[in-house]
This record gives sequence, structure tokens and C-alpha cells, in this order.
Amino acid sequence: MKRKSPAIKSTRALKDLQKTFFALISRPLKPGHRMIPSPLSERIIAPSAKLSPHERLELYAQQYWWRLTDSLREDFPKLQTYLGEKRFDALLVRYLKRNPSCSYSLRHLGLRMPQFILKDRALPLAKRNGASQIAKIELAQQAAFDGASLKPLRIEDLSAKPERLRVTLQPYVQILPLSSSADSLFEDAQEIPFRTAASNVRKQAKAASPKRSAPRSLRRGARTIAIYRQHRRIYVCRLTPVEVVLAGALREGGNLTQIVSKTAQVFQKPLSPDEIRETFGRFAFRGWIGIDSRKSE
Amino acid sequence: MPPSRFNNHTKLGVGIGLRVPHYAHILEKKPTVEWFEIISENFLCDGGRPREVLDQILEQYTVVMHGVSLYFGSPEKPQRDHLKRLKELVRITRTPWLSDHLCWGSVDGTYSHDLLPMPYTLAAAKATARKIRYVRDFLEIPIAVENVSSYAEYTASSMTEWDFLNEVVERADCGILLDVNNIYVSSKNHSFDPSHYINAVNPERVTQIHIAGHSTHERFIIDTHDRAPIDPVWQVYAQAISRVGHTPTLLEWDAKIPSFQEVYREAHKATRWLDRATKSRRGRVAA
Repeated sequence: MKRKSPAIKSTRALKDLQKTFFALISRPLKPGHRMIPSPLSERIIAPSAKLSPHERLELYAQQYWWRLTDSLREDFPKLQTYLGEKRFDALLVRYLKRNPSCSYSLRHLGLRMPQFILKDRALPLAKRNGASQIAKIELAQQAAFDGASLKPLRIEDLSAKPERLRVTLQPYVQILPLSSSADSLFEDAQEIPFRTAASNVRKQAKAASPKRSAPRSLRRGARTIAIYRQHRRIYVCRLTPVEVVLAGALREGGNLTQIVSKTAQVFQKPLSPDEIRETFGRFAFRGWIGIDSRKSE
Repeated sequence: MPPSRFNNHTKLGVGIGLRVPHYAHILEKKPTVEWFEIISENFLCDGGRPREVLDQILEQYTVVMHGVSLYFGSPEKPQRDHLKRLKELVRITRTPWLSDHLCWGSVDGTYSHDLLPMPYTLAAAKATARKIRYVRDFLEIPIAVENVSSYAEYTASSMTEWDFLNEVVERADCGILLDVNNIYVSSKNHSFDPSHYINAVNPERVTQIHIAGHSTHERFIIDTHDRAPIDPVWQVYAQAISRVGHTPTLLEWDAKIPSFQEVYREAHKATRWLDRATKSRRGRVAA
């Protein structure tokens, strides 16, 4: 017997209908991009002259999965190479089942990927740490691409009362401690394309990916890297121990005297004036030192 | 539509959607374009290259904001961070109005990132209008809602799509972004006559018009924005212009994007009908 269609006479009834619709379209697709059938489809969706309720809803289910997986593929190209296409595609479905989008922006969709990978038992244990770190680097590249920036410090800024000048690490500079050679998969300088623009355009099923080179294996070993933008490119570089400490001191902010003394204090080894000058010079050349005008006098 | 409170008392003609493949051409050649429409969500970041491009565009051009994720038909309020970022972008762009879609897309804080169809009932219209008012009061900018293409209809619907649209915009007291391609697509998928839709819409509220291309499949058609509009869609546009008068018009081309010149040429086909509408209005005023 056909069940009665729901009446939408209140906001609550509207939300219930939307929950049912969303539950139907967000179940992972079957092979061949097919939606799992449900008797609820006929209850909430009317047939058209040419399509059944199930077929009509299926268009939305396909769209849901194609749009979200496309977005994650775009965010994590190196992770895809490292894991291989089949394993990566399966990871995306598991990830989205546990981590549906909670934000108005697709840019935030992959933020929980590094943590998810570490706990994902379907991935081989030997791959998890490296894959998680690759995902972290790819997220950091996005943050470096469109993160906020402050006015960069210039030599002339130092000429008048430098003790009143509050400086800080540019917000877009991302510092990442790693426990593997995950950074070796990334070029030193890379042109990062704009994300596929948000739009209401409908997505197509994923086309077969071009053959990629076999993933490199990663070596263990602690290191800290920086990811930053300069001249429309994204750079990935390893930091020396002094640079790590200086970056940390700069992130906390202060005037130059405070930052130098904090660096020397944390580094726990004597630092020569030349060493400090050179490190500062490198940071300034890369545009990493920003003037915090709200706190500068 | 002549200058009114729904378009912030502006008068714009043909606009172009600002898209990444055209950035270099626009920034270098600075073509004559009356206005650009931006997808708001592409510029809600804190800085970097997207905002650099936008700043340069704003030095030369009028920009109108069009969004894809306010989901007026989802009863829960938008995320505060989303609204704050939109408001900042409204301030930066000085957009005369802001448009988004007459659809839902999130439920209980989970987002689909799709423009999902509404059930056409009075309760849904009231909830949608309430949210539009809330957003407008927060952003302090005229809002226009866009009719979407749809592929499904609810058993619960108790009115037509155009009656639902009218109900929402009257209750919210907002404008309409009339997408004539979406009307055409839905008319084929749901078997109705597009002219019924055009004739039912309150012309005084039509703030802007969208036109676009779509893909035809054996048993349905899909709004893909990946090609030029077909003649029947231009015919729906002509009918819309003859009813609502000269109205800012934008061609959407979001996939398989051709050269800027090609998009520009295609968009400016609208001029033929816009000029006719202007002459006809002048004639009426003179008489």
C-alpha cells in the first residue's frame, strides 16, 4: 500500500522532509554511481513523465558525491599519488561518511583529513603517518595561498624607534613539524592554481585519472618545514634549528629586542650576532616578518 | 526594471561573470565591461591572490555579489562567520545588491553544497522569507533570490513554483534574480510552459536576469553552464524582458569556459532585447 505523502505545514515538518531527503542522497553510491533504493523516495518525491522518484533523487545523490569528492581530490593531489587512486577514492568515501561538510565553504571540507587518516584502520599502518603528514602539507599550502598578510617589514621601518615596532610572523606562513620525509614529495616552489570556483554548476562523474608515477617511500626523521607564498608561488622549505625557534618567537610577536632575546633564550645555545642577522635577513627577504600595526606605537 | 529599492537605485546593463580563466585577460587588457558578477564564496578568504585580483577588479569595475551557500530555504540561521565575511565583502565591493538561491542545502549544520529544491508550501515560503529578512537585516543590503533548476518535485507541494516564488518575495519584500535558463530547464523536467512562469512573476521585483547554457539528456535536461544558451532560452529571455523591461543581465558560463571575447560576445546578444525595452519605455513615457 502506498504511504501517504508528508504534509509540510510547519518549519519542523520542513526540516524533517529535508533530513529525509539529505539522508537519502548522502548514502554512498553503489557501483556504477547508482543510489541505494529506498521506499522513502516515492513517499517524498513525485514521479515525472519520464523519471521515477528514485531516478530523480539519484541525480541529486550523484551530484552530492561527485561535488564533494572532486573538491577533496583537488585539495589532496599528492595524497592521491602517495596512496594510489583506488585506495584514495575509498578513503574519500570513508572520510565523508564520518566528516560531512559542516561549513558554508568547501575549502574547509578536508580540514580533518590528517587526523582521520591516523585513525583509519582501512589504511595500512605503514602508510598512515606519511599520508597524514602529506595531507597536512597540502592543507598548509591552501592556507599559505589565501591566508591573511600584514605589511612586510622593510629596512626603512627600522630607522625610527625600532623598539616601538611590533613585528610578527606573517599569518600566511605555515610552520609544520614533521616526523617523516613527506616534504620530499613537494617541489620547492610550486604554482598553486586557484581552487575550482564555487558555483552552482553541476559536476560530472570522475574521469579516469592520468597514469601517475609510483609513490616514493618516505623515510622517518624529524624536521620542521615552512610553507609560504611569494611572487604568486607557494614554497616549501626546511627550517634550520635557529629558524624554527625564531619563527616561534615571531609568531608570538613583540619588538625586535624581545624577539631576539626570546630566540636566544629558547635556543639554549649562544647565538652570534651574525647568525641572528643572517636568519632575520632570510626571513625578511622571504617577506615573512609582518608589522603588527595594531600593536605598534 | 527601472532604478528601485530592489536594485539599490542603480541602472546596469549586460554583465559578465568573473571567472578564473579570464583573470589575466581582464587585468591586462581592461576590457569595457559594465559590471562583473562575482561568486561571493570565492572571495571570503582572508587574503592572498583571490583578494589581490578582486582589489584590482574593483579599481576599474562595478561588482555585484552572487552567492551559492546562504540556502534561504534551510530554516537554520547561517553561520555567523559566513555572514560576517559576507558583510565585509559587501563593504569592500560596494555591491548594489546581493543575490543567492531559492533553495535549501544544509540541515542540522551539515552542508550538501548543492542547490536542493524546495517543497512549494505556505509553511516553507514563510520559513524562507524569514531567513531572507534575517540575512538582509544583518548585511544591510537589498537581497534578490534566484529560481533554481530542479530535477525533482515533492509529493507535499501544494502550489506551483512561480506561486511559491511570489509568496516568498512578497513576504520577504525582496527582489528576484530571474534565471531564464533555469525556468527553461525546469519546464522541460517538470512539463510546464515557461511563459506561464514569466507571466506570473511580479515584474517590479525582478532585479537581475541570468541566462546560461544547459545539457540535454534523453529523459531530462541539466543546468551545466558549459555552453552558450540555445535559441529557446533566448526566447524565454525575450519574453521576460518584454514583461519586466530593461534589467541587468548576466550570462553564466562556469565549465568548459571559452575565451573572454567569446563569453563577452554571447552575453551581449542580450543588448538587442535590452535596447528594444529601453526604446519601448521611452516611447511610452513620451506618449
